[in-house]
Amino acid sequence: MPEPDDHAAEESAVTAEPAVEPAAEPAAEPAAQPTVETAVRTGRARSAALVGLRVVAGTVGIAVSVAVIAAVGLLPLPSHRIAVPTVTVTPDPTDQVRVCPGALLRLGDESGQNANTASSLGAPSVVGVGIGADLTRQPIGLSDADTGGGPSAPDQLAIPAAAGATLAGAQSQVADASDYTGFAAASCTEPSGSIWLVGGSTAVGRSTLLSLTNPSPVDATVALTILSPSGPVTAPGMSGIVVKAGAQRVIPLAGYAPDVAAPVVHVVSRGGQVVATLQQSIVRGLDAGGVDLVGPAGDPATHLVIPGVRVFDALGVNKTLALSDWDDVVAAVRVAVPGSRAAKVQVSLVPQDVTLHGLSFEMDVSSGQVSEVGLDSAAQTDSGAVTIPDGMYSVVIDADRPVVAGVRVSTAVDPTAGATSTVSDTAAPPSDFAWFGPSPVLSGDTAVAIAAGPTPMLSVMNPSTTTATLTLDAQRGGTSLTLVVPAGASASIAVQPDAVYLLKNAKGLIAAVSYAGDAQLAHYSVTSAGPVSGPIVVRP
Amino acid sequence: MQPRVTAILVVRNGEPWLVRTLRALAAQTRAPDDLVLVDCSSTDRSADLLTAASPTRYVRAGNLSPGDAVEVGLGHAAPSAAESDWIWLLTADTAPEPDALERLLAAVEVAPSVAIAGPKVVDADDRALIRSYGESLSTFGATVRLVEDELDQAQHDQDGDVLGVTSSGMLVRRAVWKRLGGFDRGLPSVDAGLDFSVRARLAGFRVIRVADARVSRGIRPEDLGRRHPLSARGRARVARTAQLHRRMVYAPSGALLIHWLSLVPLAALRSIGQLLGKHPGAIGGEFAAAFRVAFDGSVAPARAGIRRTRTLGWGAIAPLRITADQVRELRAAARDRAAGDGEPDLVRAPFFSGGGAAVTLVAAIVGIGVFWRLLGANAIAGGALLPLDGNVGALWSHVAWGLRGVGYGLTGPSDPFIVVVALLGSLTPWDPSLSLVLLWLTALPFAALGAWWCATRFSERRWPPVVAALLWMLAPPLLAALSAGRPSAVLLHLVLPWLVLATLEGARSWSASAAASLLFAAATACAPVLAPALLLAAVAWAFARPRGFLRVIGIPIPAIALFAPLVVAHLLRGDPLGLLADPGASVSFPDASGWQLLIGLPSSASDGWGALTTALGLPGGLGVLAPAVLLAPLAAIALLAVFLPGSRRAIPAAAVALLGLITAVASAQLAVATSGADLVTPWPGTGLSLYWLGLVGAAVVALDALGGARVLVGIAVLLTSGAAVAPLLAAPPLGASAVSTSDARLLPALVTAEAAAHPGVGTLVLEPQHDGSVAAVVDHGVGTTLDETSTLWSTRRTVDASARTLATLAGNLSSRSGFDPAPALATFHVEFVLLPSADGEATAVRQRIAEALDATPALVPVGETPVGTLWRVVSYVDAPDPGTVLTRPAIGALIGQALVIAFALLLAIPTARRRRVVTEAAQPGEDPADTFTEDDNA
Repeated sequence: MPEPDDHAAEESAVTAEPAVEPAAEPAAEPAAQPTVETAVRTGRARSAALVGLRVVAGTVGIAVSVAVIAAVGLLPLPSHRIAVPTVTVTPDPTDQVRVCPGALLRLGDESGQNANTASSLGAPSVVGVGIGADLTRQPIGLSDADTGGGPSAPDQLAIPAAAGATLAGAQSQVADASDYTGFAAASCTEPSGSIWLVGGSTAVGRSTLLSLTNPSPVDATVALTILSPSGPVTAPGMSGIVVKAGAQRVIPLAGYAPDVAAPVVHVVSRGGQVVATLQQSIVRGLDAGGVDLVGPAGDPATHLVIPGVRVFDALGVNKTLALSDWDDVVAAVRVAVPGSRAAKVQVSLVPQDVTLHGLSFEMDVSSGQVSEVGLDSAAQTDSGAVTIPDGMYSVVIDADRPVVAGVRVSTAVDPTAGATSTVSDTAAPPSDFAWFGPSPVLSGDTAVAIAAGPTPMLSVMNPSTTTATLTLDAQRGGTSLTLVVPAGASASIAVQPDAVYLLKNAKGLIAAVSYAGDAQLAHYSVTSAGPVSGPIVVRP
Repeated sequence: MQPRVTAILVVRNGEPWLVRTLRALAAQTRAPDDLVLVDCSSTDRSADLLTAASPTRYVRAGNLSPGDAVEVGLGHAAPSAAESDWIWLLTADTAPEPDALERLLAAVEVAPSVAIAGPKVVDADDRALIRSYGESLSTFGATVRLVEDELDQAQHDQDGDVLGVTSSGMLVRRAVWKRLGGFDRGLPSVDAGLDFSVRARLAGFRVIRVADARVSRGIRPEDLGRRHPLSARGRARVARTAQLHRRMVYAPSGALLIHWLSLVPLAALRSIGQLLGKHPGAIGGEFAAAFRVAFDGSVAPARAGIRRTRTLGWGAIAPLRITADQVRELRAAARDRAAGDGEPDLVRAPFFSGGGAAVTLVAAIVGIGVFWRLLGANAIAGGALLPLDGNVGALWSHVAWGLRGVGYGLTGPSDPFIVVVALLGSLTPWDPSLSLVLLWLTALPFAALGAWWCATRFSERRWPPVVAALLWMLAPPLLAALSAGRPSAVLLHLVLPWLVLATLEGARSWSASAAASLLFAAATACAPVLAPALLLAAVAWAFARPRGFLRVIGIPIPAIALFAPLVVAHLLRGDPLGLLADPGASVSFPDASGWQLLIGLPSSASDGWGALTTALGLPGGLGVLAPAVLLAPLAAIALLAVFLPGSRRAIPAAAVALLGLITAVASAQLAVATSGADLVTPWPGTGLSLYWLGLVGAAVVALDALGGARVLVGIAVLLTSGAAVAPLLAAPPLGASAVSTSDARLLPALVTAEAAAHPGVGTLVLEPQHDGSVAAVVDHGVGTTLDETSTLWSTRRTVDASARTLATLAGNLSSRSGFDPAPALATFHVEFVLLPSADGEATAVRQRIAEALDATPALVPVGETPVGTLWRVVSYVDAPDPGTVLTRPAIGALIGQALVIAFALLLAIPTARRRRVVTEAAQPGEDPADTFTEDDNA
């Protein structure tokens, strides 16, 4: 506590008033009565002494202050830290489930009747294997497309809870109808409560179906958010979509977002978790222009990697550009910004073949909007020349805010390639397209299923700074393989169709599977088992 | 026939007076016929002096009571049978004037009915000062000294009948002495003469006082034979014992039991009165006297003696008693005589015309301007702000030791802060949470008010207290605490100036010291981390004011009583540092750098300058440099104070500042509590408040000494300091502060409604943490309110069995797993699962948990709420309402604490007349004396 002092006494001492002796002065001996002069002298001496004392005190004060300020500001001080009570909980293992999209669908039947109901186009070929546990395979029981319980229904793959057990599945299907041609492949994915789908179009001649499958024992209530180049789409009925337990809903996207060339869909499910897939098909005039299944694009992130972007028959595609309504065969990247702030996005096309040049460009995307830009938009070449030659590429997207993205690549048979070709330059060549979504970083050993299809390739990108050696342990069909991926680069390896591999030493890598053939193009990402099953740190 | 007088001189260590007394005896104009010297085993040179006086009779007796010593002396005196023989009772210090015996005898000669004659007992050094001249009883039996310590102006010089006289110099008829059996053994000193006189009266004799006979007395009768005179409280004890003894002896047999039973309760009741009268030291004496009389055994023989000798009824002495009116008159006269040595005047600026009211008004306007967003709110939230329990009774029930509302089944003592919270909530009993809103709205004016009053003790002038009030209101630690939602730090800042004021005053006044002790308890309750610094300061102040040592050193007692159970709990847990944890909600905050602490910023979250420079794209160091430069004038003037006159006040102020800074720096290094995945240090703002207090105190001393320049310097310091805290002041009105209005709900409305019906309903809150972990808490009822918080919970360090069960439940619920949560959910009586919203790095783990909870068949989604996403447990097991169960140690601790607080409260109620307040202007010319220089007088 500050101690008030005899300050009147001090003040008198400063002003050197000799008559006022401070009270603190010990009683003078009666014998030595000071004369006035001595009093003045002692008073002055005393005041001088007091001033001197204060100067000393002040100097000490300043020194202490400087020392304290320096110590507080500069010295690293020891500290006492207790440990936060922590329990790491490894969840009890549970059944693992993957759901495949099911057969390709069309609205109405082949004759164009019943345009409001979906129907299936044959059945997909599904490959699925459980590793470490027995796989049970069961079609979804209820479907809007009336495929419930049949071979065309979405397949539910499951293995019972067991340590280290995992499973993988994939499906593929070749469409060969008058209005549906092309090849579509998709991975069987884990149900989730939040799924971003980058792909589709509801422009003239393009139709997009949203398939929602709920394999869980709980009804799911789904809400959709659809972003478009002009911002979020609002339409009635976009929330509160009930997907019953064990059922598939098929919803034409045009019902919510008609005539949107570049939609991005966010599916949020409460209650049971769902698997969502977009199926896009193109009909140009009367010519079928391909079909594809768009799988989950992962959560919004500031860094996205799309490995295994496969360009095939670039020359044929280039030639079709002259045809009307073929402008969407250009390889393009679609980026959406879900947040409330605009993003600055850098897109890089990195060829796997080091002799080719990459491309890179920047784009600004407003919040809530979708932007679709040709991958070759940065290339300074004459029109008509092929800017992105055939080959394997990776697309890397960096943004200052979390974004979702996908890449669309088309293939078309070069009408002039074979001498026996009877197709004229102006006729539509057979073609197909595929959506390439970002792949997540693998969290460990991961099973990957290779559906049947033309020339399947596994492309792997290694974002680390050390060379990675990936082992493909054949679980079904094919032989085991080894792939060396240099640091910061990509590599691809041809894999056996209709096979299942266990990728070992896969932690930290990014992988995807792609297919290419004449008028056939498809792609799906390789995903590790969801982190939901991993251990979690709990602070009780 | 000449009556025969036997003088009996009882000596016990009477060396200082004995020579004079013997000389006075020898000089008597009417010498006593017989002189018996009774030496009650003196250890000094009394015996030598006595033998040197060659007495006629000299008796060495043991260590006897005065009455017994007289008996022994009589035994050795010449035997006498005559009715007219007298004995004259003297002690070593009673020196009769030469004509004393002659005049006494002259007075009794003419009245054969007189058995006892008392002289005028005067002071040994000043014969004009009457020490005692006649005694009497009030209607209720209390001793009334008819004359005591009065200057003799012959105003009492009438002889005649009185009820009693003191034993010093008493002349007694020997036969009466024999018949009445001498002095009562239960009355060794005080009241012995009075009691003997009363018994003589009851036996039909008269008692008179003789004005012309003077006997001087060296010491009080109760000090006879003592090495050191009794203290005031010792005298009070002796007097009270004598009074109670007489009450028991004089009481009618019928009332005896009631009197006996009422002895101790009466002592307790009178203790309250003693506290109100600021005599805390007298309480021990009250009880000692009560117990002594109750179990002494001297009452029965005394009653038997009266029964044996009484010939008249009690009504016979009634006319000689003093009525209540006369007692009041006598007391008033005594008070008037004592008024002369009152306390010195208090010099300070008047509140209304001296700037106090004006500066408070200005602060109130600023406060409303800064917190206008909170106007009309019923509750506020943000930072460590939690609502209070809506029921004042429940609020107070959380003060007790018992089951704490936080966490799962934590039983232990409450934090002392809960008492402060309960007091605060009781201010608005219809809606306790509202009190926090009011606290926020009035924090600035209350800070200014307290600082102004405190500063008036450092400067008698008008301007320095005004500057101090504004500086205290603009203190960065206060503004940061208000902005960050730290109720305990805000309360501490408001309490500190009053604590200083009461502690300074406490050196001279019991009332102020008790008030300081309560404020000390409040301050340490709000900021336990400040306790070492405050304790150090209190001890230093006690040693600096030795006369008020007891008053000051007792200041920490209520705080110690309040903290004792918590200290025990922490020590048993082996976690003494946990005591330093901040009470209330444990909420982490971004640490401040050392430089930020130096400019008074407790947390980098409150760094308005940093945000400003970042927004303007200026270099980061400017965020500290700019306010540092702006605060430099204040620091400079505080340092200057050490050079100026008054440095004896400035140096302690600077020391306090240093103590505060050290506390703040130490706080920032002591992570003793946790919040989810974060470590939480005590809020350094409390130490910084102390730091700021020292700086402002030193600045006031400097301003006081600066003379004419003080207004200009004061304005300059105010302007620059105001500019330095401008970003902090601007944050709340701009909505940049963490504090916002709320609906006082911690959990979704559905849960609150359910809790109204089932208070034990549990809600499992899974809070996603930024490090990818999840914090699991079970809230019961409406959630953990501020009064349910506990530092025992926030400083927990081990994971016990129930924590492990909870973690397993939370971990599995947060994952897709095959775990059956039903049993664990039932264990904790969980009916709801809440997943609060998260941002940044916690979104990923939140997504995982949400998906897992969605997929759990045991849970049904309820929906999104303002607090987060809610699930309901399908089959919920209702919990019995735990209520408040008081255990025996809890009751013991509560009673002990309540007694200490009640003691301090009673003592704090001001009952003494206040010091006269004068203004500086009223003493023109000379500089007024510092009010504290004379404060040792009390």
